[in-house]
Amino acid sequence: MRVPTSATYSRVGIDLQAALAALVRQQTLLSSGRRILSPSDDPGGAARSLTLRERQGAGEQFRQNVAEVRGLLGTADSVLQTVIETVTQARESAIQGANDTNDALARQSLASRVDALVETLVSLANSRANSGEYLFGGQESTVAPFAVTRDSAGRIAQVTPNARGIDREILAEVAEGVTIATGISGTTVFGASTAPTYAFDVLIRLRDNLAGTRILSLESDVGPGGAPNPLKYLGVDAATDLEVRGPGGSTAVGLTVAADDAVSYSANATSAIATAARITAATPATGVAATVTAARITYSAGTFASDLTLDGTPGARLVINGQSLTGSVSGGTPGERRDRLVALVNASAAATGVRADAVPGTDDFALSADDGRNISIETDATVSPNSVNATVFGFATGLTGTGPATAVVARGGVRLTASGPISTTVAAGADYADQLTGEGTTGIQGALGELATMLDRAIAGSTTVGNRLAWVQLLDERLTSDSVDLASTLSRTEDLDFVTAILEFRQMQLAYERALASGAEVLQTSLLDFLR
Amino acid sequence: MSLFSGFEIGRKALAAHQAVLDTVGHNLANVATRGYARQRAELVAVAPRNGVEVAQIRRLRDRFLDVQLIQEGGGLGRAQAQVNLLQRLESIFTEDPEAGLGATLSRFFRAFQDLSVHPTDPALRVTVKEAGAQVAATFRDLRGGLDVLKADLVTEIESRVSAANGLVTEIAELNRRIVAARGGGLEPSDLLDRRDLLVAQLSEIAGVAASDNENGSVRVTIAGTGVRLLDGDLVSTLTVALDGSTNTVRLQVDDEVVAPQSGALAALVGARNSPTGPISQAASDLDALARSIIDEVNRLHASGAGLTGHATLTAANAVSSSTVALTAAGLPSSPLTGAFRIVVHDSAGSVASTVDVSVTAGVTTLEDVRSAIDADPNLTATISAGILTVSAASGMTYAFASDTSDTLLALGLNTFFTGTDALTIGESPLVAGDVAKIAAARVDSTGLVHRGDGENALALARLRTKPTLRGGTATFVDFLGTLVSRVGSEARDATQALDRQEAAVELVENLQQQTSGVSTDEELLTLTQAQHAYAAAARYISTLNDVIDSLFQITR
Repeated sequence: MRVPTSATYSRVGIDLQAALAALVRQQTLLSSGRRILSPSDDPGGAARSLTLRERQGAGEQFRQNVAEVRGLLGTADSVLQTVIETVTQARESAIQGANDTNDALARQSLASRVDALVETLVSLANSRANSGEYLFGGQESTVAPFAVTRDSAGRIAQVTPNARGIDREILAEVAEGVTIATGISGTTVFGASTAPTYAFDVLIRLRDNLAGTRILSLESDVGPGGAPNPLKYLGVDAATDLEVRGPGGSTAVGLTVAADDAVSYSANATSAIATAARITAATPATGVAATVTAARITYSAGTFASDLTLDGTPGARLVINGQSLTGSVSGGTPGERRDRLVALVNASAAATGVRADAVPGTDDFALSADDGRNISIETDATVSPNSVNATVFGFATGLTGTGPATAVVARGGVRLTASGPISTTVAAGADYADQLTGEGTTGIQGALGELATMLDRAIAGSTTVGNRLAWVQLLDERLTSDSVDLASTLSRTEDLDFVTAILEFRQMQLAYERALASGAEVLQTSLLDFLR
Repeated sequence: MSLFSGFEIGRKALAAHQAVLDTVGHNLANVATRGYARQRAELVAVAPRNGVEVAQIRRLRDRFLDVQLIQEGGGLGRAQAQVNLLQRLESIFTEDPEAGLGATLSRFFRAFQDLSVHPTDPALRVTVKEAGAQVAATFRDLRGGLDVLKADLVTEIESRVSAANGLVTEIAELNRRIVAARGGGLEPSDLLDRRDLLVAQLSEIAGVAASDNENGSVRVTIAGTGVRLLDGDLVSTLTVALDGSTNTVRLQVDDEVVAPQSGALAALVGARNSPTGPISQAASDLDALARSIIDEVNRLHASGAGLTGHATLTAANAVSSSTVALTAAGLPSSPLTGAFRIVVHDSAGSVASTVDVSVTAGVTTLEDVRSAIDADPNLTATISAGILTVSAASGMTYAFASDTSDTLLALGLNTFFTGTDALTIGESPLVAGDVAKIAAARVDSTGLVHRGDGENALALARLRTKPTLRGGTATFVDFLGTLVSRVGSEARDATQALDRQEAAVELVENLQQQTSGVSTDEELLTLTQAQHAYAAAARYISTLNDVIDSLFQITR
């Protein structure tokens, strides 16, 4: 093989160039610390690094969201602890107030303590997160969830939740496809505003009870088995039967004025509506205001033993507030018969003003008139297989004889309120003596049960939040370990293996040096050196 | 045989070895000349016993290797152009971990994540807006880079064509001189060397084939097509023209359209014209990705509600006619059969009225939509130049909800992005003008919009993992990854092809060099030999002279 001179030169040149190119490239890799400088270095790796980076970004975001949720839930949790404390304090006050040995003055001081607790509870309910959102407002996060109405004395009279809804949760994504609520709904913690255990109402009632506001209660409910309420209000007619004393003074009130009640059916019956109207008429003299509360009576339906068809004929009649109900209640279980009767009553609700509700979990049912009007029932005393009286209502008293009879079975309640202590005196021999002389603690004792419900609710809320926090904590740990894994995978994909790379670099350096040395040797020698 | 004829032998020897020395000198002088083929003075004895003479100066070169060299040269030119092109394409898609499209998209969806937790935070809204603008800008940048690359191709093709024409002219001139020299009985070795070199260079540009004519000139054609570039001193001109209608470039030799199959021009013209070439493919993929992001984001955004409602809003897209079905009205996307809802809110945010607009694909026109909206007592809808505008009564605002018909998307009402591909993508003026209009919330079942509602932002953030591309199998980042990986593979494959081609050319060149390369050692040997031969011939003449001298002294 002939080796021309230019071939030697160009061979050396090509070799040097190749060695140098490899060296420079390795040097670039080393100085950048990356093994992929452009996609062609490792097309699959470049694509993988893209998706890995994307996942890394998402993971970082999830961790950020988790931190955010932890912050929000943590704040909610500490607020809930304070709520629990507040309710506990209220309960202590109620227990003290319920003790009859307390005099009015002692109860006054308890009332002002509870008033402070109402303020505290409202401010807790309107707490904000560090980022400014209201904790218990749900998605209505920029408006205080609970608005306050104050009376003339500046005390909170009513707390209304935001009508736009406070229970729509804000969700944060904390892992691929996993969302978690960032807070807990206001209703869960404080109860629905329509429920009797709405936290603010309970505390306000307790405060008012302690402050001396009394409920002149027509506890018209008839107990299971049809036993009459001993406190049933039958009315008095003398103008001096009832004396009402309030911060403004005292006055005698007569209560038998049927003209004061346009809605109650029974013309001769006195009613809560009439009573309230009379007391309200005397407000300028006494400073005592009266409002009506719903009439309600519960019937045990254990007596739904047999079928029943209402057709308006004697022995099969049921007339509520003058409206005769007709229809069949027969067939099925007692519970189903009960449900049919409830539907039958409700079908005439517009005319009677009386609503029927099934009592959940039992075969019982309740009749109620929300506007406080009397509930009057006309039926037969005859005992027969088809007797309404016997099978359903089981009147033991109030109805006599065998013919048709009418009885007012429930009246509404009257609630007296005033800015100071009130009391009443009832004339001797009046039928409602018990309730009206009661400077007693019924209302306060009732509050104890409601406060227990409130407490349970707050604790349940706190437990929910606590569980969620624990979960988020676990998630955080998983995300952290995921992110470490991801980072190492990414590093394997993108980063240079320095040890190997440096070894390779050394080798390339040697190769280059060898190419230089041998090239120099080859190029030096020529026949010229030996010719003379 | 006379005594004096010995002088003739001596003279011839001197001249012959002088010629050998000259050839060595010429060879040594051209040791580094590209394309130079070494020459050798071939001596023959002159019969009968009449000394030596130079039979010819031979040019040592293998014609078969020449043909191969021209052919491989075409392949090399093509591979080099391809690598150059793909490396530039690759550099466009080399993903910067901070500012690349992947990172930008990731930031965009993360911004929505942040917003979903704190929808009322104005800073987060601005972040979403900025991230969206960045997505649009990055798309436009990449797509613009591809367009510049395509435009550069035309410039490059033009410059290559003009270089090729220069070479053709020069080769024709050499042809003429070679024919003339041959006619004068001379062997124009150096001209031949030069011509071979130029043909090889021409092949690298345009992929040619050369054949020798009887008179020593060459005929050059575009390889594989038979289209003649030159024959003897007859030249054709290579021209390039841009065909506006198909947006392609056309190569012509005189009036004949040619498509070279090798050489740089083959790669360049292919890349510029082919709809499946790497550049066009990358551009169409990028467009598909952008379109998918635009549509998916807009679809969700259009049915969402911002922090503040719309008092008046104008669609981004115009219909060709408001009385033909929306599906045939030239909108960028077609509405489906479905419905959307507009809820009007009073200044307190309560629901004032609600209107449901139902759309039937292929039936409902923009006018139908307008009149359905206009029927609401609190809304006014108008159409101007095919563009729908919906306004609420004074003091009221409205929000869109649950569009199952994609009508809002098609009309560009309450959308986040504008545009239809990577080149036209932009942030809608609605979002750019007022970040409160970014639809993080959704109208709830009662028609209310809650300020702290981030449901829609969360849904938007989750688009990240939604497989929307390639028939619902690839997420945005999957698709981008495939694109980058393909561009990388193409560049790598081209580089490897170039390496192979270079090796092939080097092999042929080495073989040719083995025959035609100058070796200084060899030449020095010849030089020494010729020097000695010359000295010996001179001594022979001087001896002959002495002999004759002696003869003269006898006769004196």
